[in-house]
Amino acid sequence: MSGNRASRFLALLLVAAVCSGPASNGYGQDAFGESSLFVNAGDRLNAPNILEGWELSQFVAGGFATTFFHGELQVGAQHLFGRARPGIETDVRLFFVHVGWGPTIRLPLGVRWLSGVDVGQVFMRFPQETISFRKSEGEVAYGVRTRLGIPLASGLEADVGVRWFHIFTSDPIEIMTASVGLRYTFDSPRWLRGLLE
Amino acid sequence: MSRLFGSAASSFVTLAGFGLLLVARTPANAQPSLTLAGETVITQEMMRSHGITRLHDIFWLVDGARLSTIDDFSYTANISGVGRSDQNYWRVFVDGLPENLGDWGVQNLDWLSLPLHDIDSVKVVASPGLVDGLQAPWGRIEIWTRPVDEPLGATAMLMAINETGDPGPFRYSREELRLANIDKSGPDGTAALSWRRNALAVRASGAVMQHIPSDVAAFSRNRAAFDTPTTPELVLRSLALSVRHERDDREHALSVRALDMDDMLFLNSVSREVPAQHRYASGGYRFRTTTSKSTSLSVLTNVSKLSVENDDRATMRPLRWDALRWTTSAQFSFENDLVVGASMLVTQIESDQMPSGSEAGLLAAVNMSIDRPMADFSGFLSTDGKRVGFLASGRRTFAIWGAHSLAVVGAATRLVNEEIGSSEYWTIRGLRVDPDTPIEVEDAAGEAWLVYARADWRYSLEKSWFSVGVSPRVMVDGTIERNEIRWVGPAFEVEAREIVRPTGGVLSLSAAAGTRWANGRVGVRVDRRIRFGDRSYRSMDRTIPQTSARLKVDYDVAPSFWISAIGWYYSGTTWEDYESATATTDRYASSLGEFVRVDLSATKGLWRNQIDFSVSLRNVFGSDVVLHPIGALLDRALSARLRVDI
Repeated sequence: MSGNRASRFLALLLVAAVCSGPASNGYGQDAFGESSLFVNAGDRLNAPNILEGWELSQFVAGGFATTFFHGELQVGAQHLFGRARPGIETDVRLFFVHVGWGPTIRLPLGVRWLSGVDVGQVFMRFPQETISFRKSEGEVAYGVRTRLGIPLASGLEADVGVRWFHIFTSDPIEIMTASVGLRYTFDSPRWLRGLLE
Repeated sequence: MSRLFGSAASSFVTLAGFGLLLVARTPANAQPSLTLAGETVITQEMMRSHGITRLHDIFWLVDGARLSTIDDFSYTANISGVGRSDQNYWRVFVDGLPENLGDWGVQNLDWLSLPLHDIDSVKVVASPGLVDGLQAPWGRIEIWTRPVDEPLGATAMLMAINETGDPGPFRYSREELRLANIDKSGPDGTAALSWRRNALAVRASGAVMQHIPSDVAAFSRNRAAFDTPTTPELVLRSLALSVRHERDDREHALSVRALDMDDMLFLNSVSREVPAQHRYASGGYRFRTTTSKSTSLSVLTNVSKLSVENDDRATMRPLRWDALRWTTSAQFSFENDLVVGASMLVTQIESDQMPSGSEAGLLAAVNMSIDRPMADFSGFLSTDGKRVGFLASGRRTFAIWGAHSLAVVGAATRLVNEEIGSSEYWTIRGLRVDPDTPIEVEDAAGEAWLVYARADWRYSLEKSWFSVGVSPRVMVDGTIERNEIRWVGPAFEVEAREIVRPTGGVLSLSAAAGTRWANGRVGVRVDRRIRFGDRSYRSMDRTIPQTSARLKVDYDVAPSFWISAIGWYYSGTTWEDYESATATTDRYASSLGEFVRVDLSATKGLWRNQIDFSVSLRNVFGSDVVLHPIGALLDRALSARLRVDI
């Protein structure tokens, strides 16, 4: 996905936010009223340049979300592991820790379209590196995601979707992934609402 | 003869200023919305919504200022927006107490271990003036902290900045990325405890700042040049304590701070960074009392000690610099607006960079000032025993008619050893690259005439305003020391040295407009600067971007959610810190192209705003803001800040 496509996607999100309903207060409908925990796992869909030195394994991700300003606010993390190919000194672990926002659109049959844009940091760990201050590094990243929440039981959804993210290394890394998982949504307890407000 | 003329002229200008003041009156219909020329106030709310992470970031918000930084750790800031000559020479006051922060007279705001959340407001005055009998010819920064109201309080903040463009995993797979940019700042931590009982208020704070510079290449070169086995971390640790006691008509205020920093000093003489350690301690005290129904007395003093030495491991060529400064001022106030007083500044410097090994000086001064809500005037006569200097400055805002107002400021000063002792005034002394061939030094403090004026016409409506301003500044007969240095293998050598006395100035034109609505504010400002003067002056001020513009947008989405955006445009100029880049080597050429920079910030308050979390994307579009002469770029950067207030 190029930067232009990402911009178009962001514009689409903003349109969706406007269509998602009027704001009832400064934060939109029932801000922080509902919270969600989610986990998912998946694999990459593209062939990023990092494959020149590392074989990427499947990934796991998880996080927390709450209703916020025409959509939901999300804090999450995604972990990828790259095994070094011959001739490369060390493996690499990538942790994409991000905060993001996106609109929530209700579709027929109780299905929800949950998309968003994330910004955060990719923490990189090089386990076989011997010089201490070179063992880790961090780099800024942003991403976009689009997901479907398919109801399974009360508060429980199947969570299916794709994510594309861009790491601002000197030679940028762009990874697109697909994943499936579970999402559990519940009414935010009073203490949590008090904290978030 | 010239000295006699200088003394007579300074006395005349000072007396003329007070004469003018006799006919000056604060406008009877002065409105709260009127502003003084050349003055910007940064509030806590502005710092929060713009994701300010380090104190020097406030310069991004100061009207007409120029901030240069490639790494968010070291920086130069010019609050009047003109010329290199006054960068970082402003005076700093915290809660009315003077602070001497930094080395060689160059102030560094980050040396204050002030948690950002403890700051109530910062007033930046770009024009020359006087505060409590202490002159500030290059402008001043007044920081006011939040009053300690609660019996017990605590605040803490964590922040980190990461700049893009790191090699990432590719440093293991691509040879050309082994020395790429790895810039990151932080995590920084600041914390403060406050305590109040009756008339006594105490605040203690501590801070740790750290930085890994972008410039691995710089460190590699230092290893080659100085046999430097340093690791590329810069660390600053500081502690501060302030105690205030107010009862009846008496106030005692005490402030103590100490700092230790591992730094890389950029030295013009060798055009490179040198690892050095700074140790700094400062103590200030102020006493105020009412002596009668209409008079009061204020006495303040500050003593600071700075010690700089290079890392013994880093170089065989020693650099040691110990500076002691003692400032004292006593001021009598009459009828709350007329102030008369005297002040004294003593400096003692010991350094192996000086031919004599040490130097001491005394500057004694008398002053008078009148301070009214929308007008002030200051006069200052000083002497170091050899020469007489003066400063006369005045500001006034006129409500002309209707929604129109005019703010004017004028200042003239004859600087003599402004930083007394003061080999440190104009130039950072060079590292003695070869012990057998010392760099010759002179008292470069010299003398200089400085004339500054500014006029701002402002048209204000209920929610909008528009202003245009003009500001000429002229400096006559300044003293600049220049060295020509050549790389001759493992070290640099000075080939020639020159003292130049530039004369010239800058004419600044500005236009600004702003509006606000229920939840937001928008402001735009454009500055155009025209240089004039002799060749050496124009060369000195070539770092000025001739055109700059700033667009600032703030939007309060909800009572605890703020977003903001700032965009800047700078026309092409020369990299400020490397202004001394010589023509002898293209390696340090430092021309900068024009650029646009956009920063976005979002801040969310939690738990009734006792916690807030801020994320900022800086230089969103990744413009090549600075092609640093030694290879670093200011890329996009992400900053995150968490603040907890109990």
